[in-house]
Amino acid sequence: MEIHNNIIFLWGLEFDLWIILMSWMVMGIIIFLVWLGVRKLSWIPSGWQNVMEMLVEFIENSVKDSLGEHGIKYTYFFGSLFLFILVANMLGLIPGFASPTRDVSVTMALAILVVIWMQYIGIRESGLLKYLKHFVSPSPAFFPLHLMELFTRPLTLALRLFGNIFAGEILVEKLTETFHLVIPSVWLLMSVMIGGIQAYIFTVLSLAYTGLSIEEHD
Amino acid sequence: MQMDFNTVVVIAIGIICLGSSFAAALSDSKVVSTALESIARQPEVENGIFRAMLIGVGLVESIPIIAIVIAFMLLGKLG
Repeated sequence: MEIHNNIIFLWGLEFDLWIILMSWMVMGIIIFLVWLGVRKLSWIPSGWQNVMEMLVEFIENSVKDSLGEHGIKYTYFFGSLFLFILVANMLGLIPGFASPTRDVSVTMALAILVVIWMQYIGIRESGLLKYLKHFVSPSPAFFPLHLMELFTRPLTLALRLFGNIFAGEILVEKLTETFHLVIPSVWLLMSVMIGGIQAYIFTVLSLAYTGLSIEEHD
Repeated sequence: MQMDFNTVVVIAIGIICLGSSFAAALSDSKVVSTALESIARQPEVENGIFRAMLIGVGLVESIPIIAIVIAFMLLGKLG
């Protein structure tokens, strides 16, 4: 766990260089995979373009379920979120690499990003006044509750993703130390599933929270 | 038996893992069994129910997993 201890201190903050490198690698992998899919665009998709279109349709359906027909224009944000978390979770399963999402700073940054986008989407869909009014929506006594939700939502989102991936990576390490081939491989397969499920849960929960903050006005 | 730091930390890790695994297994089984029953009742909604079940399991398991992360942190503090 402490093999790569490349933490640098800059302007009073800590930066983990290995995690930064892994994040850039995740972005590079996503760009490469998407580039493979859009090389020869055709109206009848085949091969890798087909796979990419299936992915986009899947995300569009999830976005449409939560945000309605006019929410499809935000697919790009939730799609990028889903792809980043998915590839990031998978990257740590390759020996020698680490998932960027094993660091609570990365997951907390993603969660804070989601919260900021929630405000933006809420204001853009319902207008500033109606959006501020939803904070006192059922009754003004609910205001502390809505305020608290503004903090606990990103906290649980970040800690859920971090806990799953961090604990999974540590378990892979401990299992490989103790057992031989079969048991670590079984856990590795389980980690693939967990990575996918957690990416999906992060995205769907963000969508559900955003949908909650705009549904009362539609 | 002398109660030094290491002993207490090991006992604490044991109690954390006991509680969190028990809670996670019990709650997960409740979610999955309800999902199975509703699939059996209406097989054509299987996709939606499966998706909701996955989301439910992910939500429910978040607290035990945070407890396990605390246990790992304690494991690192062992003398």
